[in-house]
Amino acid sequence: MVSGEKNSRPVVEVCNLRKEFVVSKQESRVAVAGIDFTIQPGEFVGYAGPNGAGKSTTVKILTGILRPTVGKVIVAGLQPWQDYPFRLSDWRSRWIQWRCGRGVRQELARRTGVVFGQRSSLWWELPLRESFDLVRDLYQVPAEVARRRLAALNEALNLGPLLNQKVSTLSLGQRMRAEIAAAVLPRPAVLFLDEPTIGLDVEAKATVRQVLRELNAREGTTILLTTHDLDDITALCRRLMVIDRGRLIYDGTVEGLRNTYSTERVLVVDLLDPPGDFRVSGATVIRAEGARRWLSFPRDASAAALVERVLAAYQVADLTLEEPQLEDVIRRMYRGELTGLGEKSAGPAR
Amino acid sequence: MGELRCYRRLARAALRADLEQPRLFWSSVACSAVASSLELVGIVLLLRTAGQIGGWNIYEVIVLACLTYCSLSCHGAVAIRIYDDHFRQLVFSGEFAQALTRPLRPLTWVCGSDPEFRVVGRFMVSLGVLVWATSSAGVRWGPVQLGLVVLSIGCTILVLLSISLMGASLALRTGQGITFTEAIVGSGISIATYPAQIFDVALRMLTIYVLPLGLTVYVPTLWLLGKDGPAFVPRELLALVPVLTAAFLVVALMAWGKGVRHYLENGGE
Amino acid sequence: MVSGLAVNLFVGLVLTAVYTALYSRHESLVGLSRADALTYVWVLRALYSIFYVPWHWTIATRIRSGELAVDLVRPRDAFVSLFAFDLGRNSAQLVWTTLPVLVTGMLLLPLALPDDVLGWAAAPISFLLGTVLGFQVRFLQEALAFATPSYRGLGRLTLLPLYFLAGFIVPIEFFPAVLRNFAEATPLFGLLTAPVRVVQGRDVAWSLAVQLVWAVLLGLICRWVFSRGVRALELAGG
Repeated sequence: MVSGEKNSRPVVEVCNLRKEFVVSKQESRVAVAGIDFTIQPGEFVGYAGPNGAGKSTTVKILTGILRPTVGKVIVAGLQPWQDYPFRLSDWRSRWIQWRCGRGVRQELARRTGVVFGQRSSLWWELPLRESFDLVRDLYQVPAEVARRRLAALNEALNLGPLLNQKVSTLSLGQRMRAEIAAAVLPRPAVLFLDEPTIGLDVEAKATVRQVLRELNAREGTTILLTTHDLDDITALCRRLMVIDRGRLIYDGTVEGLRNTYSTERVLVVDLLDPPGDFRVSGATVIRAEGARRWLSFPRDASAAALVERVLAAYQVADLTLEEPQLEDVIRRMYRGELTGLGEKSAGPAR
Repeated sequence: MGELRCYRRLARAALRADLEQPRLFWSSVACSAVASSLELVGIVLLLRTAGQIGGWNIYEVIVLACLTYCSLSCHGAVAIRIYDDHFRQLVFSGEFAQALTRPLRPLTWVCGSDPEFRVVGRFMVSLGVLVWATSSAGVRWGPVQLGLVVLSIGCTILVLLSISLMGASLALRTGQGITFTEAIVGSGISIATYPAQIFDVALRMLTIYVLPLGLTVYVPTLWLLGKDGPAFVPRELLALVPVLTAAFLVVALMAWGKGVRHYLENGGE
Repeated sequence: MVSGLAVNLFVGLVLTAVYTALYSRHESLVGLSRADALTYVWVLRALYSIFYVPWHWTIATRIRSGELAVDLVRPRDAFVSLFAFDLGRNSAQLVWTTLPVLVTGMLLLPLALPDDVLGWAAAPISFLLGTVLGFQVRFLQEALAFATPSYRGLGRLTLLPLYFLAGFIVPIEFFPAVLRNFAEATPLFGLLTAPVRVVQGRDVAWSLAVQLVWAVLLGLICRWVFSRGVRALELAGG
């Protein structure tokens, strides 16, 4: 399943996806509360959200290991979960769905690649080469195709010297490169990555990011990157989806998010004698730590005028002017301070 | 069959991984062989003094025990990963979820990714002693006898596998710590090792009809040794051996399927 | 724990049938009456969980992973803590598995039981000593972890013959004379055979005495092995 084939149709289509976990006879927990999105071939999408927001639930549904309560999901041209109401009472349709479902799940597995940051999918005690051979055999990649593909991947990811080493002896960075290679060896239509740079040092992170960037740019692999690391997102993703409490609160470009936010700048003030009530007109205190205050003010407003006002009213030790960080945007989104920023959720805003 | 080929491929890789640590592997094999030998020695010591049990002499009882151990070892090799704690660990660590993202049936992946090869020790010892005991018991080997042994071992393995599947299904559905498989298999093996006529009727019925381990080991042995069975366990039950085994397996596979469905529904929560 | 109890009861019933059948044509075998044999079965199943414990290799893993270093820093004596921990967990087993199994056996079947009050009093003491000895035997196996990373393979290889000699597969009375005498001379005697004999009312004083002596001796040996092992660990930097 080459990702370039489906130029017109999206690789991932999610429509009114909802997942409720039954906690007890009376209670159920809503993990995903009705989200919609599509991913076109060749996109590199970041997927962020606080813990418990529904990120991993969504990805589990997309990779075929969790059944949604309601919703239409199409991944790589397959519909792993037929749309059906919450409690199926019709035994026959359940049976049919299960039978077909199993075959569809296996085909979906063949067309998608998954890399978990914390779980290895390689064969620990064997040389790396054998892991690739196993992937080739299990995914039924023709030998010649596999050989050429591996040669290309080995070169791109610099895996050559590692091929004869046992996977257990590889460093975390080396192993992550190998995991990515193994995941894309069968040329999946879409690659799901879950925290791939977690625990890596700066150098290794840079390498992995480079690898992913190239995979997406040169081969057009569609990638969904689930991560807490916003540097990954800024470095790699054009598009970002943010989920919180089961709803998509943002679905747009990273640039768009930053540009939208950068209507505000931040003045960091270190006060000599922090008062209980620190207020300055024309600015909002967004953070306070010890003697330091972070003031957010509109971009068009004059920073100099603000500084003057601060200096006039308070004793200041030092000042810095900050450009907005993506992390702050996200954090504020999680805290619910920035609603209405390109929301795409189906339901009403929080 | 794609699944079988994939299973073999995975198992070959697992064997190679085991052989990467030859000292550990071969000492485990030796260990398994010693375990089997000691259990057989125990039976020999008992029967040496008592002379008989239930009218069967020492060789005949050993035949029964060896058939049981051969099956147990093969089952252990295949199904170790769906056994109680192993399986719970698999599910808990997320490896089961990972298995579901592979283009294989989850059972194929789980069982194939790490069979326990060291039980070949137990198997070889049991097989060797079986051959010796059958000749000493006066059995003349021919295609029929071979067929009976294959039938017995094969069906016993399937019954044991069914028990493991049901245990794993319980683990998927309840996620709780019950040592189901170990308990049932241990109990079943302890009965199957001895001739059914020494047990009272209730235990006999249990081991033949409810948990057919006695059926799959004892009845073929009756034919092998040319003996008649006790009340409620006639030789004619041989026809029932493949039938009950198949029925048991079907129930187990259905239970497993239900377990997987439950996991898919709840994501292992 | 419930399933453990159920399995022990069930296997107890199975083995009862086995020994009853064995004794069908004999009054006594190797000096044991049928009642003696049944007592053996039920004490075996009662004490089974004491020796085949689920936490068998935890000490060894702690040694290899370096976690033992944490125990050594604590103010309490590390070895005594390990011992107390094991004994504590086994006490629960004694109450919830050993006792019910034994009582069931006593109620259902004609077991050979102590004749007098002293005999009855001796039984729990013997069980306790057996538990202590069980810990010591297991500890010595786990102490292999001080010496080599392949402790598990070696340990398992030694475990089976040990338990065989202790009488876990068949009563040692069934052994050929040489082997039986050898088994009686080892501390393994105190694991199972001694408690069985105490309940049977045979050689009660002798069995208890042997258990006590071995418990003390093994205690010293374990202690010594532990300190040597710890020193080796410290030298190697954990």
